[in-house]
Amino acid sequence: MKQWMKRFMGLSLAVLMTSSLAACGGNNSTSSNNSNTSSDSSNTDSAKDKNEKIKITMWSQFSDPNSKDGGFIGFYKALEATKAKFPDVVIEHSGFGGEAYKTKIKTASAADELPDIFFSWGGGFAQPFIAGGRALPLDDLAADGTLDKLVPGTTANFTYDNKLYGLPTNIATANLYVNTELFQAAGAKIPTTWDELMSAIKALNAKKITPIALGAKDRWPAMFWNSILDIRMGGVEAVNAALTKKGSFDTPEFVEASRKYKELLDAKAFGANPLGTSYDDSIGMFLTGKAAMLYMGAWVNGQIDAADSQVKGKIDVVKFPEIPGGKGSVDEWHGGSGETFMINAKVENKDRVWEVYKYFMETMGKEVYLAGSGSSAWKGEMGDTSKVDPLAVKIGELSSTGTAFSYWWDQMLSGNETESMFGSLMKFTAGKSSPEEFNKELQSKINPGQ
Amino acid sequence: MHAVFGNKKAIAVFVLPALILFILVGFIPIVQSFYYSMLDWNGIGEAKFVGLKWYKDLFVDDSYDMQFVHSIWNTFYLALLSVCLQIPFAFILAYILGRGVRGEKFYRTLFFIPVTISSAVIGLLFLSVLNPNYGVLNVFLDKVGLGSWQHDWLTEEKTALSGIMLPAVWQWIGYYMLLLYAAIKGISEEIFDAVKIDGASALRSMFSIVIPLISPIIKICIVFAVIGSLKFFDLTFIMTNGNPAPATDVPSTLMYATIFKRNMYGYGSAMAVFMVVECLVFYYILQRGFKSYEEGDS
Repeated sequence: MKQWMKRFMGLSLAVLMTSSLAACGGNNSTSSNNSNTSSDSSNTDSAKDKNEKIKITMWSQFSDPNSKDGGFIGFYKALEATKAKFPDVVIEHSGFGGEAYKTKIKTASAADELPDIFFSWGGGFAQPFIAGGRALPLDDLAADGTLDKLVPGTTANFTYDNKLYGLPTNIATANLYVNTELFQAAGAKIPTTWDELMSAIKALNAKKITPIALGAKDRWPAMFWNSILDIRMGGVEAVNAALTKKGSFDTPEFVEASRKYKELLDAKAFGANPLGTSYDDSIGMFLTGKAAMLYMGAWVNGQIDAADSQVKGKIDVVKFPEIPGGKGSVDEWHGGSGETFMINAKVENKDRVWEVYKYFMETMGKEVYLAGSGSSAWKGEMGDTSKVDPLAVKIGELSSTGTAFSYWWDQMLSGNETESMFGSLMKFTAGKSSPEEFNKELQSKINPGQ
Repeated sequence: MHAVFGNKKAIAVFVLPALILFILVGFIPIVQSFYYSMLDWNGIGEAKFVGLKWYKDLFVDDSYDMQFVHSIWNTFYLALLSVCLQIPFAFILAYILGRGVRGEKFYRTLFFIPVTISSAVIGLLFLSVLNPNYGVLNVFLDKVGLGSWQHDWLTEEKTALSGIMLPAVWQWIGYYMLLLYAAIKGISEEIFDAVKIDGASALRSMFSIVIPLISPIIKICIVFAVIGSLKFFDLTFIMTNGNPAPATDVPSTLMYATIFKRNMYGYGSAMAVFMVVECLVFYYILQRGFKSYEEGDS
């Protein structure tokens, strides 16, 4: 196998050299080309594998190079930068969009056909890969000072049994976006307290403006509301404890949080048909000025401030209001660092792949920040931030005082628990179960026997 | 010719390629699924043998609140719609076209168009028609003053299932129409002339001549419609993905979610095996039904 690989590498190098020389030299005779390449390849053999060309395969969910989503922009910029920085490494990237990527990577993992580097979510999503020994533990490699460059707490979602399996890129937070123009039109105040939020909803509804855009049809946007209300009522610590099987969902605080969610639904805060509205529809409503608020991750910044956006400059972002009687402070955030790339446990040239990987992750952290989607999980100079999206800067300021983070539930929980959680949440959102029943169900499905 | 088909070895040689292919891509996976269905396995890690636990869970325990039994009823509903609505409708169209109508070719193509369009396109088409905020249906109801009839069609439990099944019925009418049309075209014109001389009305000739003569094709249509309904997947997956659960769930969407979202290969395989068995049983029942009908007839 090794022998074969080497021969293959040599051959591909020869082909590459020939083609590049042919391109440069135009009418050069082939015989001289041949002598060139043969001497070159013997050189690389003698110089061990330092300059030998290696190929790294890479899969991600970033399928569209022309996307306006900040995450996509940052990814492709980082990929180009990495290719430029490591000319002796060929990175072969394949992108698959959204849900298709999840299916793809699970099947590939089952067949043990994962690429060298693959995008993954932390928490419960990657649990089967880790348990199956598909991902490479990075502790030894990252002891080269890499860990000190990271913002504290950002590796929590990639750590399993005290072993690190991925580096973070960015910290994504969910934020409350408000359309200031619509608030003015309705004579409502930008909410800083729960009561102000409720009266704003009433005022907006009176003006026939949908108060909050919510695409509950895709399930996870509804989860965002449920999570932030739980965070405000019970505090991040209680939420994370419940999600990691150290606590309970069936507590008075969480039941009260669910009552608040129901209060919003009953007040028609999410319009008439949140369950029939998809995520794309809801973003469309907000971007065309039909809805006044949106509680969503920072990845929508790019769309809000795009050149052709109808709401550009009219959007402000605020901390989610505190709820009276709740244990969570205004500085506790829904979000954190949960997207990573993992290295295949069977990767060849481990050390060289690590160098490439490390550089790529840090660059992506910065590029995604510069593209306006979430702050970097890496410390250090960000370079020229004058062109950074103002919303991203504002979010960076707001979250800089953040005291605790609770990540997306559908990544924290295992696949099975996620489906059950969504099932209960949809039932509750449709009004088919009471706040008490909903939290009892969550507890019995996610933390059975506790 | 006769010599070739009289030779058993020759038959074996000709059947062999197809047989090998069928065993490789059809039979072995089914047997494999049956084996997987007795494992507690996430598809990657260690597998644990659990026997028939998943089958019991499907119908008795329902530990994950997936309501598999309800999803089977949903496919029965589609099968009922197909047999009672789709095939009669397809037959009427085929009869009208087959007995001669101006622009026969044009209509034939027109009715067949939905069949040629991919289900993904049909799904998206009806998603936008049924959209609660800007869908054609709700906008139309609003414009004609029936605003109170508006619904969030695909999220309200009462309408969601029909909202998916009716497009599915509509989509495949052309397919059955074409099958029946070809059969009707195959009936000799002389028979119709004879019937006409005997003084039978058009309706009478339909029931006494056309339907009995094309009954083999009708049977095939019924088998296709029932089996197709039992394995129904595409439009549900595209339009609602089973929501509001369990109103629009069908066994195949549950199977997909169980394997790829819940990471339970064993449980999902149990669903797959059930579907295979279910289809075989229904095929058998239908064949027996046809046979006893024929025997009762003659």
